[in-house]
Amino acid sequence: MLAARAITRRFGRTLALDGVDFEAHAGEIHALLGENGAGKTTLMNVIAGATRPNSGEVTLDGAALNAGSPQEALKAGIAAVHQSPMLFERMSWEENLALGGFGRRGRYDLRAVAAEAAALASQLGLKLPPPRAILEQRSVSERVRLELLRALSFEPLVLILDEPTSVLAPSELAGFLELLERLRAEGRIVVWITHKLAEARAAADRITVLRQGRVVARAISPETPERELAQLMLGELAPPDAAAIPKGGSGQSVLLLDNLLLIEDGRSIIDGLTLELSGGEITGLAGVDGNGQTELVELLARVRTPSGGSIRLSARTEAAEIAVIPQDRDHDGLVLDMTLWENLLLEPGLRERFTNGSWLDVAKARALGADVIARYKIRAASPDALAAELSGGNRQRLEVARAMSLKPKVIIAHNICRGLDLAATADVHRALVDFAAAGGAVLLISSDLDELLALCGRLFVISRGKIRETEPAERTPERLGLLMAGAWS
Amino acid sequence: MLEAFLTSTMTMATPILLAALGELMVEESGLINIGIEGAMLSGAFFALAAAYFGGSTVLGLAAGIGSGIAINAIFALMVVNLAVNQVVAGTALDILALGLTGVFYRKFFGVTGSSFMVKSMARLPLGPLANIPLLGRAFFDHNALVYFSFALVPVVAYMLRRTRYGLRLRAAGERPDAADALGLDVYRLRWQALIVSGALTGLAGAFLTLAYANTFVENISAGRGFVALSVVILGRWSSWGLAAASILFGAAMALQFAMQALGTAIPYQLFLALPYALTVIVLATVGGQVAAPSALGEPYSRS
Repeated sequence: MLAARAITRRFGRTLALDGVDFEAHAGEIHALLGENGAGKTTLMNVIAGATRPNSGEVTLDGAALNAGSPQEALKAGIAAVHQSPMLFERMSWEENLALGGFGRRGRYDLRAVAAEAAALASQLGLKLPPPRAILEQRSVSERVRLELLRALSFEPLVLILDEPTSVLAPSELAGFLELLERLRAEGRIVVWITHKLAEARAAADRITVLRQGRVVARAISPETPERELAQLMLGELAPPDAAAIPKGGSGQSVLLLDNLLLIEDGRSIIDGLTLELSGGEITGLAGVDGNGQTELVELLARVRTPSGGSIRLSARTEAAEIAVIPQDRDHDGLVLDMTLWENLLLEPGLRERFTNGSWLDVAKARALGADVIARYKIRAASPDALAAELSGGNRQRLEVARAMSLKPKVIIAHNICRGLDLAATADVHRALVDFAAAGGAVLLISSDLDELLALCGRLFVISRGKIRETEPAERTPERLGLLMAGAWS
Repeated sequence: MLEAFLTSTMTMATPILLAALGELMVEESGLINIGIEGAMLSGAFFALAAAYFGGSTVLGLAAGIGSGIAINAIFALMVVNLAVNQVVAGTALDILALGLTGVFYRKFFGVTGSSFMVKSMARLPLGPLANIPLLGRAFFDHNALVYFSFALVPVVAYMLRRTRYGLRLRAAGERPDAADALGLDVYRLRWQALIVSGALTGLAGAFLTLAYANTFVENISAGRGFVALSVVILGRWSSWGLAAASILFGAAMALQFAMQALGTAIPYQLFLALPYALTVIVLATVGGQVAAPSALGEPYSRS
């Protein structure tokens, strides 16, 4: 049995965990449910030894673990898979696995590591990258699978998974659940951290709910109705219903992608993509990660040049009126060491507006920061707070706020709600819907079908750089899953 | 003439290569040690002092190694345990070593150092190899440290790329938080790299006084530590690259002697400046972003 007792952890002035008790038994899948910022990840880090609690202790089968020692936690059999992969990007995948539990004995030999990994991977139905592939060139979901494999290589008694499904394609989900059930059958403990109610109810044996650093429901049944769980997670606030979604736009074309091509190392990454965006509508683009979405966003952000075709703006749109919200907010979107208002000014369009000659108008920029904090419900002490101090959901709100402050005509949003909780997701969705309702054009690129089905007028599917529009009749998760897997191309 | 140039190239390359190989390990573990100049300088001074007063070259080498380790241990304490900015800590140690060796030197040896000479390290000709015309004297008739430094190149290359320990060291330099989560002791790995590097850098300093100048003058290292830093960049964080870059810088230094000997009309000061000019050009042109460890120079402390 894994037990955490009276865990308290402070970060500066915020109390991340406030006397948390948590228990999971051998042979169970235990969901740890909560909003972003509820303290789930901190609790995971405490259990895995990465974070030292201010007070409280963790025990495994009655033996207390030395707090703040990942070595000891691993030795005791606790392994964690992090939401943003803890991998060595510039090393090959074999080297990454060799740093885990593979090939620990005998001579150091990466081929032996690869062979061991292949054996485990085939048991689990996971596919490995080609030999010697460097990690930074692989997709996010591939990286998460490698981290999962690395964690399993320790043969852990306790496996903690932080939002594992946020990067899995719907088609991969079944295999993943099977894997968890196998671990449970072997008598291991799986702690599944998630903010998705449906997942917790479907897969877990018991659910513990965290809210604002406190346990609000301990080890309750997964039969608990969704509505009740939502109320536990959110407190008084129930998840807001989707606002009136504008479908079928104004028909006024704003942006035309005409036979766009991107060829790299002889491979076509974007393959003759034609798409017209019009005002007053959210256009969806569904796809499994790594089918050209990231590159398409980079083309639209003008950080890449197409190999062929063109991106044409309508007569009244200017290049500066396209706002791009990239998927990796911590790498491509924000500079975490800068303050909130400085991050707003990273956008050239906004910077221009707050510059007098060569001087920044700091007072006005701060005022914008304060306005954005209030309007987009960003939990930050002041506009001078560092982006790094914000939780994931608040960072995303900041990115959306920055895009909106530009008063653009087009917003390109890529996996914008990945890893966000219900409240943040609802806020971000409402901002997009309001924007479209006011006549803006949105291209929402996502691998989350629920999100796309809820928000989009027209819906396209991308597979291997080609896109295809879906008919309304095709918009069932099963059919879309097939299309995303490339059943048509 | 050419033989003398090649011989001198190898001699000049040796201390740079020794220091650069140590710095390579340190940088692979994620630290950048600007204090390397100070470690080399104190190695040079204490090696001479020990050899002079103790009357033994071995004692001198040991003192050089010991003082290099001592300087790096101070650096390790500051940047690894206390997460002090690495550039600031390194610069402080450079200045400390310059002042300390200067003061000790005047105290021990008086102001005129010219008579405080030690015997130069013995040459070890490598049997028949040393008799090859031209190349024999140039490459196979040196003291043990020259052979040692070049023999170390494949050893370091193998250690970094082909051993579990090298993998762990690189993991600490690539992403210390992830290395930590996998149970690696980042602090210990970085300490180890710094101690080994301290020994090599101290040895490089000892080479300057015991095998090259045979005496000490203030600031005898004369920027060779900084040259070693740029050798790591020019060599693209590969031991073999480091060897090639060290020979290039050694050649630039040897060239100044050759040119002075030839008695050209060009002022000799220009040749003196050549290695330093080369350093500036290398640092300015070879970006080094490609091969540098990701977390290089970033302070890391566990939460």
